[in-house]
Amino acid sequence: QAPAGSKPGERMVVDARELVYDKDNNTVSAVGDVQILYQGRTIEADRVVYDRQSKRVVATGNARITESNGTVITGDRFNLTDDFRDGFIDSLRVVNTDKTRFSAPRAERTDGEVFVFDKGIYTACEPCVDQPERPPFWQVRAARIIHKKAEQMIYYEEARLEFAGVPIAYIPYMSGPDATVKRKTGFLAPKFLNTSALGYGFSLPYFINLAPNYDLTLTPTYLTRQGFLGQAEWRHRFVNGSYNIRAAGIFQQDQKAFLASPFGAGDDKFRGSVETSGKVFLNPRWNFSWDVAAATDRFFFKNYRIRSESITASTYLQESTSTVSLNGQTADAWFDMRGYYFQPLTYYDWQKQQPIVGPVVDYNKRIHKPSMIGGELSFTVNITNLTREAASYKALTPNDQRYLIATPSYSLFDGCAVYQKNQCLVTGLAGSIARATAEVDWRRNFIDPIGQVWTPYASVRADVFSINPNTTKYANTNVATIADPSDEVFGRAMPAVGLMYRFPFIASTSWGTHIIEPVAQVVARPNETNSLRVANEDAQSLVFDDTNLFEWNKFSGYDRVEGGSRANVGLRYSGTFGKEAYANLLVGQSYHLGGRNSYASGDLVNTGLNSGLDTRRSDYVAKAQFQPFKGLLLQAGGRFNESTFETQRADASATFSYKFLSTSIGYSRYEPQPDLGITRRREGLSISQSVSFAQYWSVRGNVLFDLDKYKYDRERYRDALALYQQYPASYSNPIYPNTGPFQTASASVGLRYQDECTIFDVSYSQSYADRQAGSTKDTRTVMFRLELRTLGEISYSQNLGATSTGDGVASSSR
Amino acid sequence: CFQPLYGEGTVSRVGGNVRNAMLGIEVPEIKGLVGHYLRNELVFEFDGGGEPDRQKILKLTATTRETLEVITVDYANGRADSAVLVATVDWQLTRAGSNETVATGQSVVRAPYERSQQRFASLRAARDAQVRAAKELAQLIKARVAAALVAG
Amino acid sequence: CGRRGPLEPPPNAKNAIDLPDQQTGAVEDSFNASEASPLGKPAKRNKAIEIPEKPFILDPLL
Repeated sequence: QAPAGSKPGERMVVDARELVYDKDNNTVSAVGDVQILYQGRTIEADRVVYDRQSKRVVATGNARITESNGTVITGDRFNLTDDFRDGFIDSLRVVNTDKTRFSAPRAERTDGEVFVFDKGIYTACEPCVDQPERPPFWQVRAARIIHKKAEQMIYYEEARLEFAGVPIAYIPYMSGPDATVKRKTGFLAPKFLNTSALGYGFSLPYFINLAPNYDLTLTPTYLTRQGFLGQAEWRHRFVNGSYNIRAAGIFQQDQKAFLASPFGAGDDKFRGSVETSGKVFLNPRWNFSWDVAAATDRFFFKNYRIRSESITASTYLQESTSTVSLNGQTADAWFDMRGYYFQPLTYYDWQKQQPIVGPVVDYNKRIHKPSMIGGELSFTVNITNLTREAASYKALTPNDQRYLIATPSYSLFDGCAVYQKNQCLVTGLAGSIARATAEVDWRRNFIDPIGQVWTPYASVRADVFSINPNTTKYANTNVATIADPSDEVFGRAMPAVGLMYRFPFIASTSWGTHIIEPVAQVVARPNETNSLRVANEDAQSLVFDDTNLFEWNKFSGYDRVEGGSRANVGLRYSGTFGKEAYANLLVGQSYHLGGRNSYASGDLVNTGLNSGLDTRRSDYVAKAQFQPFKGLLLQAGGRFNESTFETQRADASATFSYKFLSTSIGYSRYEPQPDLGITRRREGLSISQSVSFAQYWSVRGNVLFDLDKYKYDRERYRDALALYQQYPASYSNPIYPNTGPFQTASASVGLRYQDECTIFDVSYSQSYADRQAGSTKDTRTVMFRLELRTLGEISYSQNLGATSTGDGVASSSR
Repeated sequence: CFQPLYGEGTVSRVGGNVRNAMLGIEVPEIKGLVGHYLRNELVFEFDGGGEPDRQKILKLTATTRETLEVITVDYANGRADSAVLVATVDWQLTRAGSNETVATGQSVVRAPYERSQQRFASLRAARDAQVRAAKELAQLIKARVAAALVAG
Repeated sequence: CGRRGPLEPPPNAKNAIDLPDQQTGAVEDSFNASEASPLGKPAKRNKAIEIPEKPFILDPLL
């Protein structure tokens, strides 16, 4: 080894086949797969010549330096100072720790930290394995690239962005943080936007890195038609949680782009929104979270494409739900207390008809095998307290449509023609409604020697209601003719005693294991009281199927409780075939034995009627699942009339996924339920498909067919015809609708390219979710996204519909 | 041929009969609402009796996932008038102490519910669908665990 | 230009817990999983969060 270098302690370890001392030109050269370790850097080359005179080191022949931080620099010829820090490198390539790459015919490194690449190329893509010389998918070719390690910055001069060797964009000067930087103040990737109401939009977010655990992002957006939209987002993280606050606001230039109130926010000059969401972990069992959003008008979020966590993702659940919640959980206990505020996003929905709920408490505690009695004790508590300003109704015969607000120019919000119990449902009572429910259940499995399972069951439940309807403002007075509008506090108790009998059999054959289990339940209870006085808020939905066949109380909420004596009988089959394949089946029926059938006595929303349980012998329910191999799952379930076996409800689905193919199909068909105001058959078919090909490419598409729209059109036609025949002078003769069954409720298709350094995604989506009664156009949106790893993301969303009048947006003149 | 699953003579792969093997299954906490109801239904199904706890020789761990599917839509107001809650559970039955897998699987339940103009009612219907799905998943998983326990 | 990375725990905090990705904005720059095709990035399993044991008034309920 040749000790060199100024610092006495620094030892340089040189390992080579031979060392040649050349006295006359005073050089020392190591020859033959040389390896030198010095100051944490390793230098490898075929030949390293050290010129004592000029104190320069020249390494040639697949020379390579590996820095202490893992950066690898290779080149044909290195001409460096004797401590290998500075110098020139010919035709070099640098691979950084985050797999980004520099290459250049010539580069110079000065004082060990500034690297200047002449005619350098930067890319984040891996070179093609089999043809390394092929240009990577994208690269930035610049006259000079300067990487300042101390500043952790990379500067590009006269840069050209090239895709597969083809120059796409020319950027005179560009700079960005290097691989070691996670958070850096500066501009982020621009975003583009185009909708008919806003014009073309260009937004350039500016990120301010105030501290490692809090920051501010300001996003100014210039919109050609509406002017300047300002958005700000504050993010803050502390020891056991984090939260963010978002605000947006604009002084609209062209208010005519939006319909006048109440169909749009055309009258507002300033429009904006503020939102905060966060979550705090109090201890391993408890967390507190909130997501509260408010806007100047209900259309702002969608008109200006403001991203809000309070808006549910699916196109058909469009409302902003603000919630604050405290949640606690251990292995056998669940506690959840929360409040809700609902902001519907379409003019069709009246915000005052939505309740402000606070608090709603759900608590469930289990004690497994309590001493002396054994089995399982379960404590359940629910407290619900809500207020509503305007009552909401639903006509049982919606053909003769009436509205709550009828003015010469418009009419809004469903009302009833006749406000009588058998003609009109009260889906939401105005005023304040509160209920507290507590229930104790006990059950225990007794298994006799031959394998029969007897499960006695006992339960006591008590509810206290406090209902003070408000019949003063809006259309609230109409409630008086339907239900008793007096303020009152009343209670309800429901003791129950029951027994469940199961006798499972098992047979294992060579090809599979089968389990057949007959199940029978019988329960005795008094009748449910006061069902007519209850404003049913949380138990409006009742779907009798395999999941509640063996529930002791089949109502979906606490406002109603199942009374009278009842028996549920069914047969359950479960087969497993090998590791992955399985099948199961459940068929059953429920019998009302005595007392008053809770499902035959409707409340203010007639829950229970037309549910299949409202007859002495209930409808049959069945559910089957079959997974022949991993990747294909077929499911079907249904409810069949107890006398005619006609299908009342059918749900079917198939999901298939195999290496590059993934399909999922869902079909539903529900017969009309006239007592609930559902007069038409509801039917839908949803298909989503994605295929990936050529390693990085994938195509995805999904379409939702609304199979009952043609029946809706025919009904409208029948009404219009009836009107025309009644008053031929003032109404025109309607034409027969020729809409076929396959109407697309929503469709979207997307193409995606994704490899280790690029995400390119273009998607088109169309839906009539945002269209409201009276407007014709659907909102069509194109989303374009190009993300070059480490360079930032460019995304652009354009709404194709030139004249879209959904969401309070006036049809555009342009 | 068929024999009672909980009969004394129905031998299990892990020793003793299926009945006692099930008494030896421990089910740790599963996070979330579906997790709470699934875990506690499984604990009752495996050992809902009165005898003192047996030594736990098996452990059933599970993770849950829920998604929502919209299939029927009301054209007049552009709103989903029903939805289907799809709850998926990936479960593993392992020997206590070692992580030797006795059985693994994925179980799925689709629980449809009605939606209405009242958002609170739709929200509570979705919550009830989660609870129903969790209880049905417990039955499906119990059956597949029982099948896995039965000797060859 | 800048770079908007995920939030880090406060510098002086002793036992700061590592939060799930979406809560620290870690997924800010990567694409939204629901937009990606199911064959895209596999759903990220969020890491177990170790939270220091501290009593809470409602603990007796559980």
